Amino acid sequence: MNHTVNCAISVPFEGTFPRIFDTCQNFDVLNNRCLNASEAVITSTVMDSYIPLLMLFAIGIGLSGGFVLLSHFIGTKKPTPEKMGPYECGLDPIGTPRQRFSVKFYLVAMLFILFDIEVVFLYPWAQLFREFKLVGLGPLLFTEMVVFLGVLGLGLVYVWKRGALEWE
Amino acid sequence: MMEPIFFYGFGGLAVVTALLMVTRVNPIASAVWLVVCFFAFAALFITLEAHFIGVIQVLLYAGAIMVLFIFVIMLLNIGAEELKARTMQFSGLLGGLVTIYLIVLITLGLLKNPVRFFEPLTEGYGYVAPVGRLLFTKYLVPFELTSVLLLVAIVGSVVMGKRKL
Repeated sequence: MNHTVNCAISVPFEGTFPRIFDTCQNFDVLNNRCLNASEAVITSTVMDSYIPLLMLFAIGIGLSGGFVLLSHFIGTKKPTPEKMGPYECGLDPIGTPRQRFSVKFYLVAMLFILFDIEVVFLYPWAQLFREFKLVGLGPLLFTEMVVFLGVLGLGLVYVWKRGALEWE
Repeated sequence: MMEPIFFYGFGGLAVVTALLMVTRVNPIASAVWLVVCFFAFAALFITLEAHFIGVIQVLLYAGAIMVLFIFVIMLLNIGAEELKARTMQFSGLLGGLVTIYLIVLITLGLLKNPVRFFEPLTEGYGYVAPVGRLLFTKYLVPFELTSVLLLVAIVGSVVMGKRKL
C-alpha cells in the first residue's frame, strides 16, 4: 500500500507560514518525512480512488434492483383482499397514517443541520493535523478548533438549558 | 481520458433527476429524486476536481438538508386529495415567455461580454487538504466567525421552535 501524498500544490500562503509544503514534492504521511523523487512511487491518481466507490454504487444498485425485478417477474402472485390491505401489526388499521407531525421534529432536524455543518469543518482539520504538527503548528491548529468548537459548545449548552432537546 | 464521459454522464443524470423531481405529483417521490440529483451533483463537483465541495454536497445536502425537507413535507401533511396534478391556466404560454426571456437575456449577456477562458487552477486545488490549509491559515478569521454564525442560527431556531419557553 502506498502512503505517499503528493503535496506539490502552490497555495498562496501569507506571512511566515513554513514553505515546507511548497518544496516537498512527495510527503510520506506515515513516516513524517519528505521523500525525494527516486523514493516516491505514485502509482495511482486521486480519481482512481473513486473507482471502488463507483463499484460499490453499481453493485448496490444492481443487487437491490435485480432482486426487486427478479421477484417481480418470477414470483407467483395470488392477491387476496387481506394481502392487499395495509399491514399494521396484524390488526385492522386505526385511522389514516397521515398524522400531522409535531414541530418538535423540525427543531431537531434544524439543530442536526447546524451541528452537521460543524462536523464538516472537522474533516479537513483531521486530515491536516499531522501535517501541521510536523512543522510545529500543531498547538495553533488545535487551538483554532478548540475555539471553534467552544463557541458551538456554548450553543449546545444553550439548547440543553432551554430544554429544546426535551421531548416533554 | 475518461473524465468527459463521467462529466456528461453525471450532468445528464442531474438534469434527468431534476426534471423527475419537478414533475412528480407526490412530494415524497420528489424528495427522493432530489437526493439522487444531489448525488449526481456531488459526482459533478468531483469530476471538476472540487473534492471537498463534493463531500460537503453528500454530507450536508443529501444528508442533513434533505432530512429537513422531508420533515417539512410531513409537517405540511399533504393527503391523497391534495395530491392531484397541479395545473395552472396559460402555464404553457407563461413558461414559453419566461424561456424566451431567459434565452434573450443569456444571448445579450454573451454578446456584450465575450466568453473569457479563465486560467486553469493549480493541480489539486480543490482537494480537502489544500482547501483546509487555506481555511486554517489565510481564512482563519472567517472560519472562526462561522462558529458565531452557526451559534446565532442555533439560538434563532430554538427561539422560533420553542415559543412557549
